[in-house]
Amino acid sequence: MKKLVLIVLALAMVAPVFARDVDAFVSADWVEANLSNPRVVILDVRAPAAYREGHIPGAVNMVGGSFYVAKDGLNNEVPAADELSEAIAECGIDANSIVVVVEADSAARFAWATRVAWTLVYAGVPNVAVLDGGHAEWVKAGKGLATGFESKDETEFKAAFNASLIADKAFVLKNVKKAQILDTRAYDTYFGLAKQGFVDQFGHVPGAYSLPAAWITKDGKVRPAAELAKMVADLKLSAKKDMIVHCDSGVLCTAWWWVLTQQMGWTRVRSYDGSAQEIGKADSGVKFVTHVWR
Amino acid sequence: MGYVVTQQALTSDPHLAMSCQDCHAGNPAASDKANAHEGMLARPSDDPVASCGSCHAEIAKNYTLSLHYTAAGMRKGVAPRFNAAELKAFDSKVFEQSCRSCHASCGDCHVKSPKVAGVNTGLLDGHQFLTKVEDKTCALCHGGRVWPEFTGEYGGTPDIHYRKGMTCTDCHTGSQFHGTGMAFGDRKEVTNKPSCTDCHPMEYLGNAKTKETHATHADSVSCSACHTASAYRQCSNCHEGKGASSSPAIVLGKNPRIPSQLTTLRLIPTVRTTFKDHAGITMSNFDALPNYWDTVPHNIAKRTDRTRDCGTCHADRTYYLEAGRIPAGLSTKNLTLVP
Amino acid sequence: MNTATSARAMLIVAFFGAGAVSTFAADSSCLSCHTNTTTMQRLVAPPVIGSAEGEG
Repeated sequence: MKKLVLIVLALAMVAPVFARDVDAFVSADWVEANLSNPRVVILDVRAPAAYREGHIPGAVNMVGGSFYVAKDGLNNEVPAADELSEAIAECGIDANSIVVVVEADSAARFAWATRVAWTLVYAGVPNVAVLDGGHAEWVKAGKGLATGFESKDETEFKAAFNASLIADKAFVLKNVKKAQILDTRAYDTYFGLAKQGFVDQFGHVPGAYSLPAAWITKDGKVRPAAELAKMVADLKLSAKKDMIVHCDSGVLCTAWWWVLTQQMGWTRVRSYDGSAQEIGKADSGVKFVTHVWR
Repeated sequence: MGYVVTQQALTSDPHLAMSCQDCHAGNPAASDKANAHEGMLARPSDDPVASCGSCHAEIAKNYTLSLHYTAAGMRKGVAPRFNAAELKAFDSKVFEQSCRSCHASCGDCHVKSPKVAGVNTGLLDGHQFLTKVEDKTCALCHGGRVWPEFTGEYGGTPDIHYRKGMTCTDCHTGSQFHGTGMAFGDRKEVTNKPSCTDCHPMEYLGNAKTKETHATHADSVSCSACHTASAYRQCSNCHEGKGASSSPAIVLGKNPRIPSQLTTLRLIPTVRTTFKDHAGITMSNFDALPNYWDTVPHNIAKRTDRTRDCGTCHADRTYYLEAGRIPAGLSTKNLTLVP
Repeated sequence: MNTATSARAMLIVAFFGAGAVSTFAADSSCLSCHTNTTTMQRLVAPPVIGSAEGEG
């Protein structure tokens, strides 16, 4: 009896915390097959003009800038709870929805899709997927497009932020030596040879691992899950330790956050919203290092 | 490519059932560029009545009186600074050549993206005549301020109307552009321009607290003062012949046109020597007009720091225009706008 | 020249003359350049964008 209880407990502990009714990435075929599922909301986050010219039939439009805003001197932050709740509710999304985020492509716009997706999960919508290849993939597959503007009935959704999915400056300062820091920016930036204008310091957080988000995709599609898992394993990253993923303004890092948590099931990964724009300030308390790996 | 007339256009567009030379003149029989283009009108609709007006008579005639065509507002906005002789010099040497070169012809909105500083995106769609393509027409000429503020490209939150999928012509109707046959002096005079209360009548807005707040501020504060979400472009030296630079800021001050109203202001950096270097014209009455004009940055949100916290204005006077922050050497009239 | 030769000459003139007439009456030469991408790319010089213009 005791053994049975122990077995059940053991099983419960390894059960995935992110109970998903949809994969982290879905294909155009999957979207086509699920268009009439009443739980599914295809969320097209491109500019209204592009959406109106041609979109996946049944998709609603809410431009990406509704989900990440400039706030307190930082470029891409989560909007206030009431604003975000309204934006999500107006898309016809509630906690029971299966949302597919559609950006223009999975090349230059890939991380912008994962940024919206992360925001939704953070706000309490658990079943979110990203269309692999974006709108471009739908068009490439020769599938039909609808024009004009479509909308769904507004829901009563209210955001309930899951604090374990985000890192703020206080958390980073407290855990900068203890947690695994994953820098998802380009190599040149990590190494200290280049930086964006809005970041003060060259280089990276001391001890940070480098794993550019650009490597998640190849030729506009996400690499096979096994390949991505191997990249993570070869870097000797551990699911058992806290991890903070960051980039320059909190967008690119959501790409690795998405793969690690939604596809690989890791539960201790936080995305740092302020990223290098905040922690890379000259007076942040963290002194970046250059010209070294880790 | 943006300069090629497509087969699609030739077969489907009724305007292209006419021959090229019916609108463009020139010499279609010639076989080299120089001869073929002799006597050609590159922009036939610069004269709307003579070109498009042969079929679209009423619109063309109304349009010639509208502000997009006459650019009258650009003249009215600076005229009080000149004395009679200076104004005459301005009219002959500056207005037509410089300001008015920006006037929009029919084709600039319906056929080919307008040129801004010599750059455009070419034909809208293979020389088809389209009702509207806002991001290639409106967004070009109004791409320094309004468009990037509206879409969030300037770094702020996108306007709520844009986020809901609305673009220019959803509020600014064709009859506003084409005009109704009245020649207005500037855009503030236009009678059929949109206003917030056209769609958002205040009696129905929000809960009791919102209604009370709106009622208290209705006469003294513009909608834009509280509902402009993000810092918008303040140009600092475009009219000084030194190129263009600007910085983002929200500025609240007295409306130069309605001094009892607090509103969002935008810096228009005309300086005393603006017309001196190139046209030799002084502005004897430079101080007659301020450098800050009332503006409605197209960057609206329901909730802003001003709507969330009354202290933003009433205690901290955040964004309020301050005498000490007005750039030196500008119009003395600016001081009258400090709230 | 004799009748046969003049007849042949007239035929030749008529043959080529007919072609010449149709070139003048039919589609203008405008379209032969303006519908052709390669030609337009060859004939149209892109504008030079001054470095001091506007903002990034």
